[in-house]
Amino acid sequence: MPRRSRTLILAWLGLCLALNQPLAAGSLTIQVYDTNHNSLTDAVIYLLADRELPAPKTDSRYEVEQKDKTFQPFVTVIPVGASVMFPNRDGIGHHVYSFSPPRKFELPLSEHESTDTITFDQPGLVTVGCNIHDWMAAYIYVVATPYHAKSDANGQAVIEDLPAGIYDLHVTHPGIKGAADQTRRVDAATENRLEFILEVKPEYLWRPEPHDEEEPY
Amino acid sequence: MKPCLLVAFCLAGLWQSAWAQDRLSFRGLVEAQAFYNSADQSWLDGGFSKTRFDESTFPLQLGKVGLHVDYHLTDTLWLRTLSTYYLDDGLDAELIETYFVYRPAPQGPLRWRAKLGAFHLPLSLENTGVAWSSRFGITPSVINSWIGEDLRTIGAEVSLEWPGRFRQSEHSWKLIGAVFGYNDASGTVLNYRGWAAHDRQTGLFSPLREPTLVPGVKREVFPFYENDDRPGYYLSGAWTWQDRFELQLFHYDNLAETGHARGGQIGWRTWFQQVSAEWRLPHGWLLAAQAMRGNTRAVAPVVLSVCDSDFESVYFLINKEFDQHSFSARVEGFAVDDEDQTPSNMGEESGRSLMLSWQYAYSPRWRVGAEWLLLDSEREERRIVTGDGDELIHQLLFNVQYRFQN
Ligand SMILES: [Cu+2]
Repeated sequence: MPRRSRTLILAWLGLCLALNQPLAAGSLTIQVYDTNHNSLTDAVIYLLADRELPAPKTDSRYEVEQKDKTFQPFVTVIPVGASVMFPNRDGIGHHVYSFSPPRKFELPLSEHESTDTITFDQPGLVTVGCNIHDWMAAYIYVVATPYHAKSDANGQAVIEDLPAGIYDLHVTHPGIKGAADQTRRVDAATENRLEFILEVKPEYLWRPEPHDEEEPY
Repeated sequence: MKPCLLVAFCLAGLWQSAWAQDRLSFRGLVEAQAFYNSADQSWLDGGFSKTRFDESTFPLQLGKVGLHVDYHLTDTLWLRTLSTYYLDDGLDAELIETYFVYRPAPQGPLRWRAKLGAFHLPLSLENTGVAWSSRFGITPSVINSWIGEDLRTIGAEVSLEWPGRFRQSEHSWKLIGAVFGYNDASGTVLNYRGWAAHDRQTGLFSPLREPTLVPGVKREVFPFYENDDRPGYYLSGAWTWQDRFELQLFHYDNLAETGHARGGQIGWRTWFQQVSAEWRLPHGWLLAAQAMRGNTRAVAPVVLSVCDSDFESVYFLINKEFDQHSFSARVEGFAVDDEDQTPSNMGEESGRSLMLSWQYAYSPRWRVGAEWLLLDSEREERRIVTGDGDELIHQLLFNVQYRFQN
């Protein structure tokens, strides 16, 4: 092939790629550390934008189970409009409740009972407790975006299939110091790996230890 | 006892439907104890010795049988009972507690709860286990023995909590207040018998023994007794830091009217204050202490002779949890000071004790343990009656405990 036509083809390909850019979807990896540079698990990452984002899929099944007198998982991120089941997998009763403004509810559950789902229509943080076992706690973050993730045991969160564009990235955590999320403007076209350092309160403030006291005398 | 039987019938009647609806739950324990005890004569037999057993007790006993039954009327309203069975005094089953608990789910960062009926006072750091058992050994301190045997809230209690968790704060606060009756004889036993260290609770309709002074004349007091139709009260405030350190202040006053009698018993005005603290340290270490001081006073009708005793006690406890093992050591001191102007100071006493204990949770159901208690006391009344006011008790106890629940 003559050298000239090869250049032309490459230029054409380059143009195609450039034009396609806003539609191309990639993945964004976020690494979260605490101020001691330890990996921070259960950090919540979500992306908002000035433009309208596609409606989140709300048909995924979300579950916050009660097992061994603790909620599992401890932190859940769901899009607005999604529903969560609260199955009781213990041989004793639980009385699940929330008085958080985005969604107040009460779910008395006898042993091994799963009831209907609870739907979360408002964005915000919902703190879940158990009225029988006061130490039990779980956090549900309801976010108005399809692009969200939670950091794993290595402090890593991945947002897949993220269309290129400019986003406001929010990072938060149940133990974050100060009420506000950490935010950063991100260009998904050029950035695919980000690091955050979050200042969190000591663990006992947000992750209560399970008690085995059976009776509150 | 008859009221207990009545409750049993009621429960049996509800059983069928309740069981199907998953509304009834029970749990309890059975404990056998083997021991060596050097005491002269236990207070339980009308003696002056501070322990439940003495050298003449058969050294193998069914220490306690306790049963909690919870009936869930609704998801937030429960009816709860605790009954116990002791073999050593020839009594039937005892009804210890029976009350309604109302626990509405929190609607905000403040939560409140209420109890109505007959139940234990919320001021023991040791007796928080099943059936009011100690979590650190077998024999509780004299303070907590007294709470179990001579005090009971027969009335209403409301608690208001402001947990730090809901606002990510290190500080949690709790206030408790109660109004109750059937309290006019609480404190009597501290004057006539003094402090004691044992793991028994007094049934709601049962008496407490007092030392026999004249052979053949049995003395006892019914502690849950109403004389003046005037309710007593208690107030408590607690502060918790980081779920690790807890400090509680407690004020109790039965407001009994002295100087009038009903049904052969007179009213004893008893009040006390308690400070308690618990500190949970890393690596399974725990420190706990309770300090109490108060006064009990009675005026005999007609003759108007006055009984007036100050009482006080304090203990310090250290506990270490290691795998399924729990080791505890406790030191305590106690005293009753006779403040009245009568020539003899019969009720005057002082004492101290040391307890070392090991408990091993072999499985969730089975526990075994051993406890050594050294209890030294002097009592004026014992000196007058027996000629020797001092007693040093050695007690070595072994226990095997079985826990059950549905
Ligand atoms: Cu629960």
